[in-house]
Amino acid sequence: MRNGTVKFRIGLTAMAIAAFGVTQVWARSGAEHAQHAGGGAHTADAPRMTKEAAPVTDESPMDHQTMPGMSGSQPAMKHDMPGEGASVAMDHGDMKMQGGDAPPDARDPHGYSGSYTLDSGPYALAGPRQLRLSDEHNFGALLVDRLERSSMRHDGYATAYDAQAWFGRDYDRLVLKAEGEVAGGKLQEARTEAL
Amino acid sequence: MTDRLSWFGDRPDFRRRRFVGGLAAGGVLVGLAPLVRPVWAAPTATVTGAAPELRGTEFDLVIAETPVDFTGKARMATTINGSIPAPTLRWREGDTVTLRVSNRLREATSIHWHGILLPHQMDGVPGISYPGIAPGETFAYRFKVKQHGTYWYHSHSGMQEQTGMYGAIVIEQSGGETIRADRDFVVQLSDWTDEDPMRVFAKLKTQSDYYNTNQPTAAGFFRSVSQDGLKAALDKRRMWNEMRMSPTDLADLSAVTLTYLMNGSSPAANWTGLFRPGERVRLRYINGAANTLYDVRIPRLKLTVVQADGQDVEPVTVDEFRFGPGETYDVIVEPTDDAYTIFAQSMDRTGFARGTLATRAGLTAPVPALDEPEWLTMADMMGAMGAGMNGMNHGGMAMDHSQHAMHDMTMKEPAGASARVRHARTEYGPSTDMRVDTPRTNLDDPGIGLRNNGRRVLTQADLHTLGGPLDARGPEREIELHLTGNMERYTWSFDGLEFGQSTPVHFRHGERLRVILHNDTMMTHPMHLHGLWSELESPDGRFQSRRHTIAVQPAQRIGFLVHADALGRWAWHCHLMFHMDAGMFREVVVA
Repeated sequence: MRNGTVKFRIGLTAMAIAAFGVTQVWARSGAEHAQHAGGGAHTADAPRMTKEAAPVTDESPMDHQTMPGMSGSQPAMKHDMPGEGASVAMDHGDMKMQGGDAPPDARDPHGYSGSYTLDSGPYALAGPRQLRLSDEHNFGALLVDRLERSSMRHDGYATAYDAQAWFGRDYDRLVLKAEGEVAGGKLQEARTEAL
Repeated sequence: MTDRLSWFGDRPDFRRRRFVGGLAAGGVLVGLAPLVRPVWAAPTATVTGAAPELRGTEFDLVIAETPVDFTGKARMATTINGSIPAPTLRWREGDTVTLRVSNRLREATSIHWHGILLPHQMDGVPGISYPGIAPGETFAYRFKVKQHGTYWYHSHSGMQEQTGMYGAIVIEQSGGETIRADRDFVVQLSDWTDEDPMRVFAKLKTQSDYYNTNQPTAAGFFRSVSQDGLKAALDKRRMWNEMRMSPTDLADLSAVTLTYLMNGSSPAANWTGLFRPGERVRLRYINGAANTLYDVRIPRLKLTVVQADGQDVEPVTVDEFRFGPGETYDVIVEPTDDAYTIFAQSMDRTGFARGTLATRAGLTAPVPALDEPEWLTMADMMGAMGAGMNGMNHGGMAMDHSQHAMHDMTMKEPAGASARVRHARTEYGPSTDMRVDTPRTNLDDPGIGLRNNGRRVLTQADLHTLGGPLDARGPEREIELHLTGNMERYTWSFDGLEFGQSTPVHFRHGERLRVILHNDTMMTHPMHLHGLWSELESPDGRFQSRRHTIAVQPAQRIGFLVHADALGRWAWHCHLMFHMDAGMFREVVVA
């Protein structure tokens, strides 16, 4: 909206969340992009802690540290209570609770399978696998962050929009982002992305 | 699978219209079911309140859609013999029972006998035990009853459990009950939503805190400033923001959409059990909710827990207990006054189920206020490292207490589950939003919201199953699986792999093994292993209790032993229905 031109303004901010799913299988192609983009707004940029992660999963990080003031007599396994004394440094330092790369000796998630699969091996039901949960179904959403229409003294109406939609699975998603501004019947500025 | 879908919210309306169209037929068929109905009930309406009872060895169960109204809005339920809860099935230990289940729905269905030891083909999980029960079909389950106690049954198809398909199983002990009681009531807790559960699920996929009304607020921030000072308040907010997690992520669903039910009765309908003063009353608590952990108490009465998951335990007297979907606890109470409120608040403190024990119908007792919701603490996030740290007062000295934790753990380690944390390779991706490197292993924590509430609250450390473990052998090997999720995407998994990407877990037939479940999330997951007992151990490897469902707390690492004597494929999953459906589900192969 250009300065000074707005006589009155009707602001409409709508957040519509609509969820839908579709039966057809969404192609897995383009997944990598979608993945990053999908979480880009809120999740995917690497958490700060990640950078500081030391490759330690298999041994206690405590072993490396020299702790001042430990007495060894306190029952540490007790649960914490609000109001209790000691405290935590807010910067999680080397706790690396999120993100990061798997260390070379990370556990194989298929290591207990005995090389059976969901549709092969003893006692598997005949035919293709029947049990499919929501991780194998598509969902989607439309999120309209901003939808504004303003009346201007000389130029009629101006409209601004900012919306995002996604469709797909937990990790493989198509994301559409659109934002722009229309004033005096002309598109002033717009950006539309498919990720 | 078209019922998994909902287009922009219009779809449930389409479905409702079809439901109404299907009513007449459904009503007639339900009328054929062997079911005693109150005369005042319309023939097609769902019977709610205390469940009817069926006894014997032959049972006919008919599954159909029937209308129900818990909230002032008429909705369609999926019911077993037309009632919510479904009829209580009374079996006798040693009998062979036959259960013919007829499907009058327009979609496939199933019934799973929760906690019952039986041949794998009878377990009732579509796609694992059998193909399920197609519309119009009847499936006959037949198996020998080898146990006694309190159990339950429910649909294992789609979201039918949430829409009404659950009931109690009470198995009489052969040779007579060893637990003496003058009265015996099933108290089945559940939750109901007027929305299409799949649509609710889709909303969580879109915005996982959609139903969370306890989010941090500006007003809360100023309260925090006045209590703890500006820096502490800022630090606390900064910490949660940096992690992109919510400190009030106690339940995915809340009273915003759920109505909490006790024996099919809303709090207003007030289910009432009658007693005479001085009697010993046995209450068989079953958590048949789809998505709610309940904290149960009866103000002014002590609860003596005598059974957990159908297994007799050394009696332990408490004021309150928490249980998750799938778990059962039998308690004895000895009321002397005229009326008591059975109060079951949801873990997130947005609502409650309620009933009454009274000497005559119509009496009530005061209903307590809900407790304040509590923010998750460092212990709920970082386990032992967070224990002793205080989520409220942030200063320096980060590692002080945790050193003791590690020390403590190492001392206890030899006989119990190994303390060495091994994350799976697949936990380092978008499926996992946190990993706990220093889990807590203690069992004596009642959990968030119940610590220091002035009441004696049951913990897993209090439970000792009578008779000890089923198999005296120590574990031959140990397997470790992590409970994982990404709240933002609303994905739930084992080891960062949702069911569709997973492979089965193989138990060798006849082996004794230790299973470690390590919770890398901030939520409590009631983990249900079908077909086999999970024998929970203390951190130092002593036998605690024999369970079919073990609630694993945030950042907790527990060990249990399994005697892998039941051949076949079995489901193993979180019993929060949405977590299961999102993929926190594995298949176990015993071969």
